[in-house]
Amino acid sequence: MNRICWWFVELVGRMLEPGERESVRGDFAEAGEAGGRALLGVLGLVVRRQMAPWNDWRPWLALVGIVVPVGAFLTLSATALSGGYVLSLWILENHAVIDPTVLRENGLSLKGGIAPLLQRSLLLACWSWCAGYAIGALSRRATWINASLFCLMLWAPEVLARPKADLSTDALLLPPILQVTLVLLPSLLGMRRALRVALIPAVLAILSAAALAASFTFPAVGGFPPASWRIGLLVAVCHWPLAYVTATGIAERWRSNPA
Amino acid sequence: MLGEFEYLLLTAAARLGEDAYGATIRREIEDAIRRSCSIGALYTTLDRLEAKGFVKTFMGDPTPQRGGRSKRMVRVTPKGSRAAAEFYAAVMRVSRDVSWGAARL
Repeated sequence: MNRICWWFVELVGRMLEPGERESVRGDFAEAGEAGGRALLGVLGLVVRRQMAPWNDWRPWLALVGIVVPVGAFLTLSATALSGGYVLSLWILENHAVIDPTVLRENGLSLKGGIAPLLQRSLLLACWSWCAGYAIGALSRRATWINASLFCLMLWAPEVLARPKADLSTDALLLPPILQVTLVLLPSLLGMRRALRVALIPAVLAILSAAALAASFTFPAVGGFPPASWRIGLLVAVCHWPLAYVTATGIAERWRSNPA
Repeated sequence: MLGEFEYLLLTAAARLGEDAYGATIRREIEDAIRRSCSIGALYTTLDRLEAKGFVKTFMGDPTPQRGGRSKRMVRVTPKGSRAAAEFYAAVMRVSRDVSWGAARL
């Protein structure tokens, strides 16, 4: 039992800074602490350390302002986008047997559908990167908690609400693939960038500004004009990580090159 | 103004002098309050005191009885000494004419 406790002490202690971990383990050894008491002690210290960043308002802003609304919004956007891809794939697979007039009468065409899909995919990836960057920049040491909650927000609706029966393979596989490639990976890359406190690449600042403009300009892309003022408010709130990255990118360039 | 645990920690570190580090301070506090002192409370309070400029900490040499691990040494700064003196004076002032004899353990 004692050995198991010490194994857990080692494991939990990895969440501490190396110097602190060293001195805490040394204190336990010097005091001849029992494994159970040492485990409680190190758990208490880790919890205090993890809670410390939450005394600041910024991680809370990231949680309330990005993780919850933007996480839900990006999930819904990825799901909606996957519907477009499923339709395009279906048209592609059945192109030879579908009567062209049926497609024309329903306003469907493979050529006309691809460009908006790619445009929306790029916007979604850019939006996700910006959301990840804003979460990392605001949360700092609390990033891993907000990042975990963000991932939960991305996957929970997919896992809980989606009926799995009577769906084609494309319809089953595409939503999670798009979630990973267009939302999860870009947002994690954005968080990593923010935590490295590196300058936002000029191309990404320009891209996020373009995405911001595009989302308001093209109704099909950004959800404007909204169906109701409530949805409009939600969509508008979800734009702020894009604006944040654009403004931060401009401010960083300005500071590094004021002339 | 110091908190009571901050005062205990500063006083223990001042009493221990050159030998003040995590394990010895903890033992000193536990002896004084006759209760266990959590390592979490100790280290987070040390950080707070250091941020306020009341103590300075640095990594000391590893010793065999610590399994070859380093100590986090603690030194009370003049600012910390003044803060502790003010706290002690305030406790003395507020305690005048009050007898806790009946409640003595």
